[in-house]
Amino acid sequence: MKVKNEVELTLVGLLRKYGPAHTSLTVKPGETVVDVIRELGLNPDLVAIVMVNGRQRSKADPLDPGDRVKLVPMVGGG
Amino acid sequence: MLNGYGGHVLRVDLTRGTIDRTELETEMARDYLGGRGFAAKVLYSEVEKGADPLGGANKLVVAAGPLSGLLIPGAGKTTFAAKSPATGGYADSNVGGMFSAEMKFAGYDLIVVEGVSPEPVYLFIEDDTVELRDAKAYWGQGAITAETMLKKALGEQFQIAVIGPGGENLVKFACICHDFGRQAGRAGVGTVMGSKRLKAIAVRGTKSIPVADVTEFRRVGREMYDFCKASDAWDVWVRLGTAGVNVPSNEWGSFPTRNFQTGHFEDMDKMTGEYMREKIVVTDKACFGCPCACGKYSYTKKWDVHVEGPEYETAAFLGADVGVSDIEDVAYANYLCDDLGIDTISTGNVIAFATECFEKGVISGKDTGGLELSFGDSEAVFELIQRIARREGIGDTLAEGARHAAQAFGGGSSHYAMQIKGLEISGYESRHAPAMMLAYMTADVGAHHNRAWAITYDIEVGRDAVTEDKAAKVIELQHIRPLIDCLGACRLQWVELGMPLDSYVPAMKAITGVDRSWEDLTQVAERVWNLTRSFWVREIDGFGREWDYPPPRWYTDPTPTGPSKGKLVSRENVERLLDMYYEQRGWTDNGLPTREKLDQLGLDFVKI
Repeated sequence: MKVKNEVELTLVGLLRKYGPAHTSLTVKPGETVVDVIRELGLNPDLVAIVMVNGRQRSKADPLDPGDRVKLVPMVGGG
Repeated sequence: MLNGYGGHVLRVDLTRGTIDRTELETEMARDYLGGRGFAAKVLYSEVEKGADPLGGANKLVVAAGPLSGLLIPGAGKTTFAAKSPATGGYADSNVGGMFSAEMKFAGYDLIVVEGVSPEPVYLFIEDDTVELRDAKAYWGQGAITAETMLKKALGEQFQIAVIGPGGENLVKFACICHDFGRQAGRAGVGTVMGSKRLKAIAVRGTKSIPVADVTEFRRVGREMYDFCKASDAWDVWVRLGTAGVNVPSNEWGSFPTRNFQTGHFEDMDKMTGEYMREKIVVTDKACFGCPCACGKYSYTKKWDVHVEGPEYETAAFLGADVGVSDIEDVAYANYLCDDLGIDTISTGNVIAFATECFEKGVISGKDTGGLELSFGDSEAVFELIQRIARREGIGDTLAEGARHAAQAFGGGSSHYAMQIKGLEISGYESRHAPAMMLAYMTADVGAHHNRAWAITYDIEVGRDAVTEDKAAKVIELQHIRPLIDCLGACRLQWVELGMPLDSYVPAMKAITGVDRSWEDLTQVAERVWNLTRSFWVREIDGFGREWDYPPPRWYTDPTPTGPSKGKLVSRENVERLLDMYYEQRGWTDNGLPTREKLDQLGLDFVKI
């Protein structure tokens, strides 16, 4: 059941070193994607593609409760 | 019968009009696998030092790999190779689509074309029927147009590799086009095809590819397929294609902007993969055997054309690097390049170079026939693309590539002719990515990113570091993606979807019947790497370290703006990177393979 002020977060591939593959997070109003990334202890540059509700977004975009966020890295670096 | 292979080599002599068919030798498959492995072996062994790249002694090599034509995800790549008319060294370029699959169905792993035809011809292959046919009706036609004509004439099932007017006019970065918008783009492989008056190769096959253990092959293939479809990244790459990288590369400060003056483009609103998807993408396109349709087939209402793309590299070079900020304009420029048959990377890079020269007063309206060049002027880009393809006016100079154009223009412009070894640098501004810069410096066709896409390693371990592990990583990557090229497959399953590399081991065992470890397979890649390096060493007198240097902009001009502001890789660090790389490769400190290294890899036929 979705809780009102939470976003669903999916970490893809090697980003799973930093958290569970699928989780829910409480976000404060105005919090952005990069805020969430930093809270995970993750270097934002390691996140190549950000998808919010199935669309590519910028890391500077704010999040809304109920958003489905997917953080995608790229390999080929090791 | 060689499991995993079509079993035959076609040798075509266009001067004499002869075609010979021989069996593929087991040793060739064992030691070189296929794809660029075959290309390197043929070119080194058969094209003599000093051969004119545009003459009959040069050979155009077309190679499939053991995975080509089999239901393994990503098994849709074909390698085209030759001595490069742009660089004078080794060239290979691969293209996605259906061509190598159809070659295998017809029973061929390798096609070697030498000589020069007195009249335009195309090579017709239908299983055992192979003939040279008159191509007068197609000569002069755009590549997309000619492919349509050939499919209508021969049948939809034929797969076509074709050049456009760019190749016919010997533009040094002409490409070989296939499947309505895919190209073997780099280092002038299309130029070589044009120099032979070979307009196209049309192939259809109805045979079966022998496989050692069909049950196991199906199981392994299915497992790889399921991995790809289940990947949480699958829907991302289907939605966006490589244009999904436009945004992160810009955030990394690595998006080439205005002739690599900087690595961050300010005007990205209409250049993101998402904007592109919503505005122009009509459908998704996949290559043979691939469950992840990364190709984006687009229609721009603004220009009323269809185009496959724009890919990341095209958004970089016909977009940010020429200052253009509307993906619809990029799409139109992409369409022009695709039908004219010239590489979007080199074309955009060279136009950007000319534009910077114009803005700096190195060239003027006198040189451009009155055409004003400024960054962001898309109409000037469209005009220059056409002048390059037709070799008109300044287009004739630009058609020779950035290195030559800089020599012709003078004015110190070599400082910012963004090329290495005569090949225009592709889409990663690298002043804040030393491993990526090293990858460009040491790529074996000149500066190209697909040998070792090392920028993610720079990001992972720290971008400023110039350390041994970065050289080690570049070498490791140079044995992986080029290995996938030898197999006839695409890297997307690994790089974008995260498929484990050792998936290829059981696949190769089931297909070929030979159990080869990943280490054994990467040793083939190391052998091929040393062979292509040796090709350069033999061809170019005095070849060595100085040929690996990047353009001076990259070690003297700090990045002026964006996330990489202030960064460059100093000349001292350029030397250090090369020192570490050569040492780890077992080469001399001038970058030449040693006798010991060559013998260790079974390259005793390479004379030094």
